[in-house]
Amino acid sequence: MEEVKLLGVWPSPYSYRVIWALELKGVKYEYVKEDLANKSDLLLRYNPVHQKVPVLVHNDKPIAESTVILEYIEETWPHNPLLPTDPHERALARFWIKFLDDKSPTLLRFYLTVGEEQEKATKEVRELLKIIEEQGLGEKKYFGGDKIGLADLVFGFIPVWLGVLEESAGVKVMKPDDFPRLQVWIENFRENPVIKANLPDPHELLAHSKQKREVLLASKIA
Amino acid sequence: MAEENKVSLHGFFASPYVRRVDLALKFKGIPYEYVEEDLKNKSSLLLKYNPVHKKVPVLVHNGKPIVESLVILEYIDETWKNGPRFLPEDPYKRAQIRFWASFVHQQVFENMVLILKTDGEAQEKTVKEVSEKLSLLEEGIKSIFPEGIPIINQENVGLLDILIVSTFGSYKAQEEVLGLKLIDPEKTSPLLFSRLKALLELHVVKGALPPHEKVVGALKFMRQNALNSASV
Repeated sequence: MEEVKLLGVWPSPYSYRVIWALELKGVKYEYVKEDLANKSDLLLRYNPVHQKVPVLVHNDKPIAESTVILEYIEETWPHNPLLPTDPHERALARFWIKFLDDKSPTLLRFYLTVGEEQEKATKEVRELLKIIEEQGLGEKKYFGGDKIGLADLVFGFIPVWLGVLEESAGVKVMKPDDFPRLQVWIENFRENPVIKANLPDPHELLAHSKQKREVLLASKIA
Repeated sequence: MAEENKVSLHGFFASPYVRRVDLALKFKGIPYEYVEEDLKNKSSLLLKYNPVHKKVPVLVHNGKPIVESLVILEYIDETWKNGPRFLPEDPYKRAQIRFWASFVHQQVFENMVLILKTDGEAQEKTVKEVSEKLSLLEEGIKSIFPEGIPIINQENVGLLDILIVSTFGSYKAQEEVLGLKLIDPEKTSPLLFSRLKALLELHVVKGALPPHEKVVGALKFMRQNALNSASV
């Protein structure tokens, strides 16, 4: 009997990547909601090294680190592949996955700052989006090529979270005609039936983002 | 015909990231052209092949570039199925290796770079952190090989071995430049250290590591640069 558990936290993009991968593959799993302020014994047992989520537990064997989990899911349930078959294209997908994760401080900085610092951060994230659009997406429909793939799930941060962060921070990072190809990708991503059925509630997400920002900014001033 | 299976590696002799790819190619017995880059005067080829980061290593295979050392290692393993397989067949074991490879790459190595680039309290703090990470790594190695570690030879080196050599292979040079030991072979890292020593005996590894004095020189240079720009 296959038993798949996913320990995750709402509304983490890292948890959602794994949810989307499992859902796209039609893998049955039990979702265990973690509270990072009050970590369960299960989490401490399954991820003693980092004590972080997400953690996938398959037949009682834990896998931690979202990108490691995504590769595991792809290899264990190979139907409906989320990585290209060509090694060079796979390498490209992996490169862009790493790129986004390495750049997450830049992606978030505009949301965590105010004033001049925020202006500078906004400029930097726009430059990043330009690289992502021109070099990452290029002429392709998805980052993965013709179909949605692991890289798209990782870039899913943009369609789902970026707009909410913009609203919380009172800043427009993506203005309407700035990144036309990226905009089309965003719409395609959100329209995918599996993704559509597995999105965090936008109102709750916005309330959560706004509150988090207040707390973070207050702790900086202190 | 000239482009058929043509492999080139753009690198910098002192870069551990480049070392990883260099070792991987040598372990697989893949013939390749090595192009040493002057990082202060990057070649137009490098800028063409890695426009996003403009960094080494870059592997070029049949005219197509692959960048990011860990991505390159997986590419090499998937493309050349002869020689040692860097990742095992079983998906769970693969996940364990990838987890610990990422751990060495981010949690251990990046902190070791910080140690090189800092001094005083900041350095002390990072040294402590690395020691903690090495304890975790030791436990990790045990968990990957619950039956004990098999004897290493050139046919069974894996991804983690490549990372261990590239990160710790020049440990004597690191100790000389820093005036402190990063790996403790007795208390913290007996398994890691014995694995490292075994790897350093391999013919391929001996041929791949640069001479001690050259590494000392490169590390001293990097440290000086970093400390100078920090104090401005």
